[in-house]
Amino acid sequence: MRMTDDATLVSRARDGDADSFAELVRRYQDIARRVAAATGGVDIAEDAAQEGFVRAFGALATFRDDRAFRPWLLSIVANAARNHRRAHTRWDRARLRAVERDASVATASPEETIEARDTRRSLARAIDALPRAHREVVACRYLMDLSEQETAACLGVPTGTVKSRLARALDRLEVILRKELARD
Amino acid sequence: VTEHTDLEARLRAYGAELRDSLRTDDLSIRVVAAVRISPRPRRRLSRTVRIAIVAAAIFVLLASASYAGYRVFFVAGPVTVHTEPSPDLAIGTRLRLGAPVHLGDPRLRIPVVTPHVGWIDSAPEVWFDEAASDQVSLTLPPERALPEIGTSGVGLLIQEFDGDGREAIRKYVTTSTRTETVQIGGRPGVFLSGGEHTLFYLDTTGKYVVSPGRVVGNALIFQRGQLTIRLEGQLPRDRMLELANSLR
Repeated sequence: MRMTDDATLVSRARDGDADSFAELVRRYQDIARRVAAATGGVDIAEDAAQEGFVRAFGALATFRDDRAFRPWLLSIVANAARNHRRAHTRWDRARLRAVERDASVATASPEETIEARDTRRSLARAIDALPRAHREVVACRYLMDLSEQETAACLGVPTGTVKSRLARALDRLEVILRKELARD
Repeated sequence: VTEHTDLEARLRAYGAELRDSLRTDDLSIRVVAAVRISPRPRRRLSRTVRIAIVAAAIFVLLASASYAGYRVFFVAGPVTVHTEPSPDLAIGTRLRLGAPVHLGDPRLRIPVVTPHVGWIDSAPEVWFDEAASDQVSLTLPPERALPEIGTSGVGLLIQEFDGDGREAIRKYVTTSTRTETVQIGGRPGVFLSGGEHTLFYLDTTGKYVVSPGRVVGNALIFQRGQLTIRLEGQLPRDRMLELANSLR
């Protein structure tokens, strides 16, 4: 069966067809969750993604037909996630809770569990210590495995900026981790 | 260009674990539940058309006002006009509450309860929607003890639904909301603060009905007899509980 294109679904949704919008949600829910997690934190990804879709539906009237739906949606989800994080919990706390949970389920021995947890915690702390622009680009590209184009849409910058920002963010992250290691 | 091979590998491993913790179920059900109630998105009119409409409206308003003034002065002579406060129809329309009714209106199928506390002076306005006849809404205007909720023109919104909301009290769809379980008359309720929320309840035919918050304030949701009641206001938890306990 041929898949209906985004533009047609957007047009129908704008006329009040909720089923067409549901199809768009199903089409982009996974990437939206990852964008929300990258910009707002894993703990709030679900709520923020949902909120992003609801906001996007409300803003369909302002959507220009000559633009692609996907990057437009991702930028709305990213903003919803940032607002969500500001309103609720700090990014680092959410991240650390996720780290604790992840580390507690997966490993073989108690020693490995502790080591894995410590490694993740130091990595999470170092990411948290980055400025927001650097933190988000690292989270998009490495933690949530978004492509350069998806990251650019999420952050609202050109792909060239994604590359250069990512390089600077990794340099900075190395410095932070080295300092932390020296302190320990 | 600096190589960060080891760091990149660690980040990817960490990211894989984080991604595994994300949900993968169908989000569209909850999104559609929320947007079905929302007003249909409309295309914005062009600036020129909007200016033309506003200009035409001003012209019609001025013309009719001038004509009315002329007629009153020359035909009826000097007159005193008495006005009585009437429900703000804009509130009912804007919050999608229906039309204004009085408490004794025979179309109201549910036993409506109203708040009785000493710190509220105004009487509630009652709203009824034929399309949602299992519910009734009451609004109170902003006053000293009832701060306006955002720019809604409302100080307190009470919605009473004929249905079982106990499930909603245990599990609810929320966005940007903090929740706290509370007791009202010995029965559990939930106090939501800090953002939008969506309530769902089972109506008398056993179907789920979804109802988003009409204003972004705090909300208290609880079950009382056959009614599921939601209070929305810019009030702290204790004041909301006092209001809830005073309903009769």
